[in-house]
Amino acid sequence: MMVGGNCPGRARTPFRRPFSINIKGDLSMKHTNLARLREGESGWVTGIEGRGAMSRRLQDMGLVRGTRVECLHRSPFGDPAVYLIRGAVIALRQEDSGCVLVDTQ
Amino acid sequence: MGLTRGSTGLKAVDNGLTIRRQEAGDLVFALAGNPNVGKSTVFNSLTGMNQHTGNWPGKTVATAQGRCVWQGTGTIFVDLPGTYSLLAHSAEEEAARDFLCFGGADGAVVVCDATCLERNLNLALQVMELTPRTILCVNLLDEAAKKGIHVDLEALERSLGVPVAGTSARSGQGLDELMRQVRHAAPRGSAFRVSYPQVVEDCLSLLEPAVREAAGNGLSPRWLSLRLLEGDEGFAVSLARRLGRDITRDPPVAEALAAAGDLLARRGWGPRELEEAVAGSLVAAAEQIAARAVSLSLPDPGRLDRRLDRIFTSRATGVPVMLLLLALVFWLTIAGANYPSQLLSDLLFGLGEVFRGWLAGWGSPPWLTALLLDGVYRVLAWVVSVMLPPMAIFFPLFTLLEDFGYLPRVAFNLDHCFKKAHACGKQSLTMCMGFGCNAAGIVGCRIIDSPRERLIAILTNSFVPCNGRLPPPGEGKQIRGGPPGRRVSSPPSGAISFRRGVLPPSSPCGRPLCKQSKRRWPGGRSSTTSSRNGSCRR
Repeated sequence: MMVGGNCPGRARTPFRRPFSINIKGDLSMKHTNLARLREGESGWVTGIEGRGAMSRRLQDMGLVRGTRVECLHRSPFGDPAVYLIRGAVIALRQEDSGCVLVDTQ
Repeated sequence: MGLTRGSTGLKAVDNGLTIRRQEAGDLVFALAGNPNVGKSTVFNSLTGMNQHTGNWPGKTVATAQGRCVWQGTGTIFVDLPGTYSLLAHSAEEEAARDFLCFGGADGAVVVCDATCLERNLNLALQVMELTPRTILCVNLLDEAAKKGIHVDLEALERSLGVPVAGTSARSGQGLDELMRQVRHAAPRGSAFRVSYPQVVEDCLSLLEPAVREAAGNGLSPRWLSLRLLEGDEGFAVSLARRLGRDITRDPPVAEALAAAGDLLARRGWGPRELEEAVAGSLVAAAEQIAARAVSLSLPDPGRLDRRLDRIFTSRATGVPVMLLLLALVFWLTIAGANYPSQLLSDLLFGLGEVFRGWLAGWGSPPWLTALLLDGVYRVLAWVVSVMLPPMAIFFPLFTLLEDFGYLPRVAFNLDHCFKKAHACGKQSLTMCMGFGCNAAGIVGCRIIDSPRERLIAILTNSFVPCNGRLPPPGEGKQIRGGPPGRRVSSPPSGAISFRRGVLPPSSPCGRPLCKQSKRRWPGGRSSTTSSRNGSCRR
């Protein structure tokens, strides 16, 4: 099933980002990374940190800017977690998924 | 992974990937695709036993080439290693890319997984950029049908502009159509071209004419320009070696590269932005094409899998279910092997007595009888009767678990523990195989990608007791031979005494040599004539 797609053009207000106070009206966007998504949470990829073989491999898996990802499960010990990425179910270790920057709501 | 006679012994020293065309009309096609899409199944179905395996020159990546005879024509298929794209830098991807660029193939067949088409189209689009004569083979259509995923092959063909054949290689369907496309479809000029962001397209239009001049020997200038723009050193080395010179030093190419670099710099793009742009364009193109060709009849094909995963991988039930299932497999193996073991043992040792009678009747000398019967035949009979039944139960049970798709969940659950030993969760699977047979477990270590983790898995596999080393439960036993009156072949007079915890050194694989010990096992037949302490006295 294809859940990929470009970011649907949510109204992002970049000029609010520097403020660290949580303004009640702007609880919508949270900047995090793939490793910190909880089970059932989903978000949009905004970039991949670092360069090298792993970042290329993640890009080939489809984790480019605007891709929708969803965390399906975490392992009993917490470490590899299963993500739904463009219709494919992929398990990633924390050290690898930590490089993927994600915006969630 | 075909082990043919031609790939063992002296011939295992591979002198390079020499393509052997047997006849003038033979075509050479590369077989590319993601890992686990059934590429090897397609390869084996097409080439049968006409295969030759070996290594890519200078690498530890395996390769295979085979000849397929179809309607009187011969086609050589070269099985490339499974890769997700041609852009990354692992040894497999380099081997695949080098063969597609420089191997002299007439075309390429890209095998795709119908259940996951979007991800596979990434590689397909890259291969199409490289080779004008590309054929798409959409495999695993039966799996897709089970999940309610329908792939419209004509729409795919229209979007991509290359011939598309749908197959289910496991049942052999569609292979005829595939061979028809391979042999008779002409290279089309109208193949889909991935369009990159405008700045990249501008750079490419600067570079392409110069590159075409410098290296126009069949390599796609667009693809080559992209690689030069990205500054891929590994590829530059291969290219220099192949062309005999470094074309980036050629004045026209060097100027064009400098101008392109300026364009990118003015835009504020470094190598990282370029890489992201290229990957992003490929992914976006794959998404659009897949959206047009794939339709779902079930709203959420993965829903059953996810519900089951809540049992198999959750914190509360994941590990207990796993331990239960593995315990069940072991119990069935150990308990279930009792009865067939007994039968086989009776049969084979009985036959042994018959052979002894024949040999005596032919007047064979005692040394010959001892050699053939007490040596060769007896060891054979022991090994078969003691080792075959457990293996014949264990491996099918394990395969059953694999077919259900449960084994990746085991690897997923245990990866955290293995990572603490710098190993991979997939090692749990190879260790499970090692419980059946260590050699099979070691061969299975190819599923582990990282070389270091693979080496750890191979070296530690021997610590897992294989079927031949599982000790029988119960008290220590002394084996000296069968009780009187029972038709049982006794061990040779250099009798092996076996006490609890000490394995006999001279048995073929450490198994106790007395079949009576089997009767102590749970589920075994309880009739025994030896004493409870297990000592069999002659």
